[in-house]
Amino acid sequence: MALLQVRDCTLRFEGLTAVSGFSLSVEPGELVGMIGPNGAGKTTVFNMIAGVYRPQVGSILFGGVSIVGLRPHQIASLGIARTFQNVRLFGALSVLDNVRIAAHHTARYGLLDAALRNARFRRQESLIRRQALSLLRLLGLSGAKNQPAHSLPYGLQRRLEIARALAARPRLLLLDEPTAGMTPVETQSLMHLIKSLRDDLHVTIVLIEHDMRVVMGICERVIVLDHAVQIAEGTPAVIRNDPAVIEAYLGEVTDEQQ
Amino acid sequence: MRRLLPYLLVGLAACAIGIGSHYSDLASPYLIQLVVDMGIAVILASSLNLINGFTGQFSLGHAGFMAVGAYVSAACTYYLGGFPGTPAEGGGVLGALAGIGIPAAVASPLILLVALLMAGVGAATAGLLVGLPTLRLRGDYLAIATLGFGEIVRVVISQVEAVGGPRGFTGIPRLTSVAWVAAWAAITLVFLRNLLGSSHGRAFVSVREDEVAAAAVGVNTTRYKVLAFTIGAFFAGVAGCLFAHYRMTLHPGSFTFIDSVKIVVMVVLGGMGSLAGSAAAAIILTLLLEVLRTFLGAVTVAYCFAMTIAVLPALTGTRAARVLGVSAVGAAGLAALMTLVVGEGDVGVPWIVAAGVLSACCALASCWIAGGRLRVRGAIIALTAISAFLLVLVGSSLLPGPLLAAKEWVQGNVSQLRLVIYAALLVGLMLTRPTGLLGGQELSWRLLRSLCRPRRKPLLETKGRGLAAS
Repeated sequence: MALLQVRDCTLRFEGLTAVSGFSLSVEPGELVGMIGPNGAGKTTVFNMIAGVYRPQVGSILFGGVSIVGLRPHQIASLGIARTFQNVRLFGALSVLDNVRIAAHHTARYGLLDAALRNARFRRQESLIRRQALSLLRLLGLSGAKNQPAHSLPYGLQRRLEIARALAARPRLLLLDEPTAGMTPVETQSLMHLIKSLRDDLHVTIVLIEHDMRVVMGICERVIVLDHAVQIAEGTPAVIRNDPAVIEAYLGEVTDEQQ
Repeated sequence: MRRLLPYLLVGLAACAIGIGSHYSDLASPYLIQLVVDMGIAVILASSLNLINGFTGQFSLGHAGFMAVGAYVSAACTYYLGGFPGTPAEGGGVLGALAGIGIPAAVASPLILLVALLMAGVGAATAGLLVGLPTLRLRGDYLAIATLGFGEIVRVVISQVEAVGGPRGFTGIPRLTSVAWVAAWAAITLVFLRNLLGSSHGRAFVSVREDEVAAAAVGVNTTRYKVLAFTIGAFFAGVAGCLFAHYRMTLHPGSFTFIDSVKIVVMVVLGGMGSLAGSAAAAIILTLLLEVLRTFLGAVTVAYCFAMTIAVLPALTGTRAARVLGVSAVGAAGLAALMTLVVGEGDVGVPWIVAAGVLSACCALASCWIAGGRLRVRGAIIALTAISAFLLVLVGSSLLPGPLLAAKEWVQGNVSQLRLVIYAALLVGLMLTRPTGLLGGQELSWRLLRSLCRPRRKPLLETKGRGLAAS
């Protein structure tokens, strides 16, 4: 059964149709890329899945359960974690605290346990800390664990966002332009890392990317959006030669000229 | 050891106050009142910091929550307690407990404990009611809504004849002592510190930092905003109950908008997101207002401020310069504190002068060791300050005519000038430390050790807002 099923979702803001009749099915363990020109509706699709927007038409099933109408934090606790296009870290907090906050919904102790610092609290906290530290190691952030997040260089901030998303123990990870603003070298290493996350942690990943070449390297399947509509879907090889995709990326100039 | 420091400090303070209250017959009622006010201010400031500093909501209604707690508990002990001088005298809870063989000496604290919890729960309910509808509001809008709540509480109370209406509520039994206040200040600080060092605490701070991101990692932001209001209001209610049962009278005029602002000032001055800062600011500001009542006090406070400015640059110097600099400020602060005990009398003046001279020596030595330009600048400020201090306190006769007249004018009008000096000091403090006394830091061994270690980072790092002892 598909892990995530988006069926015929349409989202309108007043007169503007942001996403129209969008469908997507993601199998467990897949690494799916979503590309498209600026303003095509990629991030809006993520916001719909993550519960920030509610589609007017259509259904979204996660693990067979409908998640339309749930609030973002509920969807996060069900196992969908995301990163943001423009990095949204808890800037003043340390790198370690950023990751530990994401383990919030896995903590099983109440206010009273926390106030008394009892054995239950200490056990859970040390578990959260261990997991956070191992995630920081995985993403190469161990050395910066006590620094405030806003002091990290941009590339590391992006990595920290991924670490934070993983700390919420997702089954599905939505990455919104994880390599935006990175140098080609940083992009390469991050892409390898994303692939290894999928392979080692068995997290299903959907990632938005602006740059087509990046997606082609690691994704098994690519979806192309343009003007709120899905225009193509398939393996990178198929997408690369799809006339509709080529037009979406290159053909706009001729449209205007006509 | 790292974890023990806050407990150690709180324990020490509680012991000191406990011992002090044992000998409280020796202390003047004025001093005891001052300690009680300080404790209540600590509870109010640290609980408001949970809402304003840690969760990033802007509440201007803390005096309203305090009023709810004060009036709810006072009405209960007045009408149901059965204390002498109240309507239920001889009966009530006290009478019932006496009936089953519990003496009043045991029953009174029990009744106060119940009253405290009722005050807390009453105020927490109010907090919940305020929190729920105001969730959609942020920043200025939330501030206005909470301000409105505070005013509604005050106006409603002044319409209820049973609690004295606009004339005030008198005849409340005195059940609070210094020890009770100290204990609750300690409970508040320890509870909040433990809470903030937990996963729940991180959730509060994540709401402040970025609500969208917090929700995306599974934090129920609505729940934590309401929870912050509820917990903050609970402790404000407790503070209100302690206040009511110490003062024995309540007046709606004690819980105005200005009183809420005073608590906000403590939070901002201490540092948004620092419990230790809130506690320190609450104590310092409460003391400051009292010290400034006398001419002697105003002079020593000004002197203390001058010394702080003199040694401030030296605080980034070597270890010895830092230790001496802090000692200079400490000695001047001690001189200011001593004026509270001696009042306007002359008994303590030699001691105050001695502390002042000691402070000047430390400041000079600190600047000398720090070297460079600091040496000259610090020395000039310190020498000017100490000579002015000595001239005003002991050598008035040496002052030229116009200055003497000015001194006498200030001496005569010091009570009117009190708030002006207070406000000027606040402006000065906020200019020198815009992030508050402690920034977002907590008191930790690391912070204390950094005083005695060769300098690498600034004394009070304001960059990373750490979570409480995390």
